[in-house]
Amino acid sequence: MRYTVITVKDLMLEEFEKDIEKVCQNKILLMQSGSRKEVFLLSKELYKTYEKLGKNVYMTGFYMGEIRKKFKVSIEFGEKLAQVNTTRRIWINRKGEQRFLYGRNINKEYVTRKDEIKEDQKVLILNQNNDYLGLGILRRSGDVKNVLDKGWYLRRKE
Amino acid sequence: MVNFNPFTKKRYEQLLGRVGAKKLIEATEEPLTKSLRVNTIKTTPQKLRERLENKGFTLKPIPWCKDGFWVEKSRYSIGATTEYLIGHYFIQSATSMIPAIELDPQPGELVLDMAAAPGGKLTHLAALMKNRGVVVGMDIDSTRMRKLRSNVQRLGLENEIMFRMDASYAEETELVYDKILLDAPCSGEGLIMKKHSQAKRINERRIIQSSGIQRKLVKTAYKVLKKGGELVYSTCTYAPEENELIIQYAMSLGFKVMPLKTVEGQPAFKNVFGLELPEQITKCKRFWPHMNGTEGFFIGRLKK
Ligand SMILES: C[S@@+](CC[C@H](N)C(=O)[O-])C[C@H]1O[C@@H](n2cnc3c(N)ncnc32)[C@H](O)[C@@H]1O
Repeated sequence: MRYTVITVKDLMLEEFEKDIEKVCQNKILLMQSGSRKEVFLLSKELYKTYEKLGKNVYMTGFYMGEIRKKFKVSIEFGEKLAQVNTTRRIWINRKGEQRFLYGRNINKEYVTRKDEIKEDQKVLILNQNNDYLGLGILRRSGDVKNVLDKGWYLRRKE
Repeated sequence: MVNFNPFTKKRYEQLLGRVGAKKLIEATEEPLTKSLRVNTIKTTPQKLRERLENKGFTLKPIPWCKDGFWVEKSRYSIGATTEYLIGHYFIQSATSMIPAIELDPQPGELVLDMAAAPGGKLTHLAALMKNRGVVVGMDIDSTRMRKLRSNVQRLGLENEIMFRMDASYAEETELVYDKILLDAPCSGEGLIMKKHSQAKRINERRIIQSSGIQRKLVKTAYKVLKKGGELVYSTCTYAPEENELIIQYAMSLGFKVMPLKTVEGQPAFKNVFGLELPEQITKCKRFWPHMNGTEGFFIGRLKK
């Protein structure tokens, strides 16, 4: 696989822009040049070694997400955003956590706390331990639609 | 009942004597206690232990790995907790925690894992390196490579470069490594406890085939390791052709055998099938189900 170096601007972000810029500071972004445009985040140290290896790399650094029509944040990159974001978080209780990790949407009764968030925006989902669990979309009703969640690691079949 | 074929039984008797072989075969029937390694990239042993014990699991520290625990009691599957999903630990056998600790990689070093998938040891290496420096991982198998990727992401690694390649590919790049792990593809006899069906599949052809690949990879390791650098060689099989005889081959290339730093185990064989081997080889260690209560395992630490 081949990769090209890109910048945060190339991601044409519509959401979490500030957070993503912050996380990417002093790092190198690599985009796969093929039918799938996956993006990886590398430290400068790692990039130096990567440059010496170049060809045939299967994967390197931290998987940020994929550029489709828009940039799609990966499950794990959401965790990086949760480390810097202070405005788009929703906390859910134990029961909500279980449901969410099964891939389900969250009823508003499971929400224990939230930042001031506009409807139909992507939000970071956290449990009572402040662990990041995935991404959702806050609906007008107060329910949260599941976008991605870490239960994926169990559901994926091999 | 585990079904060993006559070929395997006879070999065990040659290696361990009649009584030893019988004990080994009996011990193979015993279920193995599950164990996990805390992912120190995301949490600490204390924190994880507290969280899992609050959920009804009982953890017992593994003496040779400060980040490892046996799971003595569990209310549900240890592979289905929130802590698992958010990458706070890796389910790993207690012997599989030894190679990375013995290699002892440091933050900032350049490390190669020549047979990396599904990443139990590669993710351990990265954690010991505090997610800094670079760990290069190679594996030839695409399905296992996908699992490796999923594990690398779940555990939050940031310092890896991975190749889906035969590890002899390392010779085609210009990098020279500080340390190398070769957790070699092997005939897998030591895993019979986990997977009983494995017992039927052990045969001479498999052993010879594995030892051919192991030699090839050890040779690559010698070429791409810096002078004074270290190689840890490990397998999960009993066959001396894949263990002691590979170390003997490594010595012929110029490797020196070093004592292990963290575990005892049983000394490797000095005499296999009537062949006398150099004393140095007994610095390598074996783990046996009937003597150590673990999976079958072999490890050697070598220096260039
Ligand atoms: C014992 S397993 C490695 C387990 C891994 N180190 C871990 O801790 O999760 C051996 C691996 O070697 C791989 N393999 C076999 N032949 C290889 C080769 N020539 N080059 C690289 N990898 C190879 C297999 O696909 C297999 O994944």
